[in-house]
Amino acid sequence: MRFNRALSNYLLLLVSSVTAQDLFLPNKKDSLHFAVIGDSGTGGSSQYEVARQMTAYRTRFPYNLVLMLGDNLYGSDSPRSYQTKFEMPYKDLLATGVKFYAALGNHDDPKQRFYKPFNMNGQRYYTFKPNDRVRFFALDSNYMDPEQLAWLERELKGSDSPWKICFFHHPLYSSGKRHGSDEELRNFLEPLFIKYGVKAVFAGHEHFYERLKPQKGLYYFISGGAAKLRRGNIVRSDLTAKGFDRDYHFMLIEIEADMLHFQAITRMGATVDSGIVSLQPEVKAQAAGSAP
Amino acid sequence: MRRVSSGRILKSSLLVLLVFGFTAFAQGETEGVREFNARVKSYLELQKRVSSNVPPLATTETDPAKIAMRTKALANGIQQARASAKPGDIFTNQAAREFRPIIRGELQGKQGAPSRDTVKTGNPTEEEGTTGKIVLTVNTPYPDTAPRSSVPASLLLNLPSLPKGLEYRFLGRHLILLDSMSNLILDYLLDVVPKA
Repeated sequence: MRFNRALSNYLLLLVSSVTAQDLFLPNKKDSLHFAVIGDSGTGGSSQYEVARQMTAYRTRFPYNLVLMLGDNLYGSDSPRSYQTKFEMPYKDLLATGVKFYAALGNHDDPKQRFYKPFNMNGQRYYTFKPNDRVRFFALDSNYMDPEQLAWLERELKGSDSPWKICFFHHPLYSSGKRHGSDEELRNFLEPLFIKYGVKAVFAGHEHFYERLKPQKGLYYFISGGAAKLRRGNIVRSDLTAKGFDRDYHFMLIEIEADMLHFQAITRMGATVDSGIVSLQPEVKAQAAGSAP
Repeated sequence: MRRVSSGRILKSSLLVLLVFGFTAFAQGETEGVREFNARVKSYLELQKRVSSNVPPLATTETDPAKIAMRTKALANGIQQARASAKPGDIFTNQAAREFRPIIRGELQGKQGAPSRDTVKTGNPTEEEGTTGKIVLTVNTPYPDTAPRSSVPASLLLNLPSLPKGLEYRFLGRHLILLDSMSNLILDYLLDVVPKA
């Protein structure tokens, strides 16, 4: 049984050439393009397969930054791990100047913040602004101390970017059987997100893809399957807008004026979800091109 | 004039003492907190002395080998400088007496359930794929391959804040004080997490 499944997966991989397939994003020249990966640092074949698909998609959808949602390096943080679990899988992207921005997961040594290619500048949490309309906030959800909360409030308050996007490891909402929602963290973060107009939140930790139904006006995504997979772990509930736990995946995002377009793609190039999130409350998120 | 019973006065006095005690703790003024902060400060001075003898770490290091080498050199230096370190050196008896009820208060019962879940997140004794038993010893490295527990934000609000680089973490039901720069376990408090 297990052999048959492995064989069918292998055959599927063979027949699906690593070329970018469907693209459900506007792909406009002046919009912000980026990719999202979570729980990526295993160094296993699945990570490499996802990375190859990301590279293939970049030829059609040129993105220059990647958000890493934590668990960037599983197991040891030895110099060899940085090579086999990051530099080698993403070498084609790194070679073309794609910048990775990491958040820390529970499997990450906080000293990863000193590693230049993770662009954390020695900080456990940080913010950056790729253009005038978008600001990202990378948080350390392992250790939400009063200093970090005060920093977040200060930075959110001071930001005039219409798109405020937070990314970190532990999901505030999740339909995962293994972990589920982090309610404790939610009690501290969500009031700040609401107060200061955060619109989209990306988290990992759960080894699958889930788009949550909007919660208090916020759009939450879980993307923790860039190298780890927990098959059949989503217990669909009222929270779930779309869930996918049958294969590894990554996300592509495009922010064009008031619209955030998203697409979740498997290592084999199949689209499992796509849609739009709008800054305007009257326009609801639409899902299109979803896999069954 | 209304007479106030002695029982009521006692209750009021206890309440005042409790409020005063909490406020004093929040302001870092209790004996346990004073002791703890002094030990932390003294540790940081030692760490600073050792750091001056190891290569500095750039905040943008391209070679991960340099990060590893620096961590190891710092750990070796601190281990030698604290060769006689023992449990209770930083979490002193008085600090432990004050911290335990705080932690228990945050984590016990139905209302503490979300925080207990947080403590389990990343906790090496709960995480799948964690291999081998971690032996808890002061002044030894936290295992390189082990995940790190989350620490509830509500608890971090109530424990004394730590200087940059030092962290509270959980290992099973134990609270550890970790130096994330040298990766050394500085001290621990056993069995602080309530069973349910």
